[in-house]
Amino acid sequence: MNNKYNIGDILNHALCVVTLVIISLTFWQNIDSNSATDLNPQKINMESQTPQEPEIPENIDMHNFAVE
Amino acid sequence: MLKRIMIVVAVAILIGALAYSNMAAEKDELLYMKQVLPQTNFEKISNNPPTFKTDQSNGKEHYYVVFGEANGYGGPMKVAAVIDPLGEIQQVVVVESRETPSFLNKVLKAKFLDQFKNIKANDPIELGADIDYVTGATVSSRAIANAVRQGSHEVAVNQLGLSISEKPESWKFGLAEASAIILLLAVWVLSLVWKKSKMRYITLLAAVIIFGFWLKIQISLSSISALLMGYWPPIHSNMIWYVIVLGGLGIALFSGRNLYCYWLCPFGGVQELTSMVRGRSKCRRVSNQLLRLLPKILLWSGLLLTFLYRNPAIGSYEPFGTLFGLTGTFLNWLLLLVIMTASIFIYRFWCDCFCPVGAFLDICAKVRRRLGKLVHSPEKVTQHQMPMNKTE
Repeated sequence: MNNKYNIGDILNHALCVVTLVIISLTFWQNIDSNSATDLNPQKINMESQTPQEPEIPENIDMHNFAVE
Repeated sequence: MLKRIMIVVAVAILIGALAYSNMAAEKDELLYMKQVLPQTNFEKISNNPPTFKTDQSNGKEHYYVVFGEANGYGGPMKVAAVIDPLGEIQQVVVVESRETPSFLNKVLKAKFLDQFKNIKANDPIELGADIDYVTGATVSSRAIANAVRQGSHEVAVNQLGLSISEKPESWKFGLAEASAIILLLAVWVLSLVWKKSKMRYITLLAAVIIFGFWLKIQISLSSISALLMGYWPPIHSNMIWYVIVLGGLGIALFSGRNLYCYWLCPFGGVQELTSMVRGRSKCRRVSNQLLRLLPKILLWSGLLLTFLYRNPAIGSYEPFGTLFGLTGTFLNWLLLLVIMTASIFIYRFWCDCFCPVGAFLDICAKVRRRLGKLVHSPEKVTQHQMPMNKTE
């Protein structure tokens, strides 16, 4: 049996194993980042968007209004 | 017999996962509304697109919340737009996303959604004019803008009685699309006219330059998954995607030959260039039958993950984007380093042992040949399209 052939084959298989490990880790990383971007409900804010007109009290006397 | 049973079981599992992914209930908009606005009363006023209106019991005028959906690079995204009584968009949020996480994160970090504030609901909401896209996430930016436009225009017309000035969607067809079509046609013609496989070095080199370093696009597991799941990007703005994905697949299905891998794949081209460092004749070729089965196993695993998570990007592991786009995680770079180093000693190491695209196109071509509508004989195809010399 040719020794050179065996070494080449071993190297070949070793590279395959290393690559497979990296691919498996990539799958795991993809799954992990998928759950990380699973969007938590983002708050919808409707309260402070358009300025509300200030309410005028009903009993205010608009004719005798003075600023001190 | 055992092999056939295994194939049937594997395909059945994939079909089951795909069916499950389609049947799995999408997040209900009403539940979402109750979650984000627990103290507000609202009613659903339209189903297509889902639109909600707040009530006037507290003396305030109606606000509208409308949901829109559009396809990004990796999959669809659902967004909600809040429109005030004056017809101005007040807020846009991403409700659900199947987009590639890195692109979505880029868009969110760039505060892209803030640009929609105070835009009129009946405005064209055009990317590049009303809204600036995020560099490096153009497809995602466009998808969000499309989804917002889709919902807000519906509210503007049907609820607020506004008229919209929508420009007709223009088709994006330029030098990139034309080059891709010419290259595909050239491969088709050359493979028929010149039987010598040396001709493929010219098209491969062109593909490395055009598809790889210029357009940065090639068929990937993610595009195959998107195709199978029906997540097709809008054709008028993504014609290049259709040309390359459907072109490569079309050649395999039409001719029964997987021409893409050996004539057009830019990553395959780079590996062939790498193997020239020592000389092509000094490179070994993977001959182990089990190792040559790996691409099909990885294709199956990637598709299964994609279907189960309903996210075309999740099963993607190829280093194409890392090489041509120069972006990727540590693992992507490590994988690229290993593959490129191995390619110096082993001819098309990635293609023979790990490429899911090659496995998919080979299956398509094989199915086509099995259907008995061959133009070329199977022996000729194998010899012509896959130069296999185990003695090397």
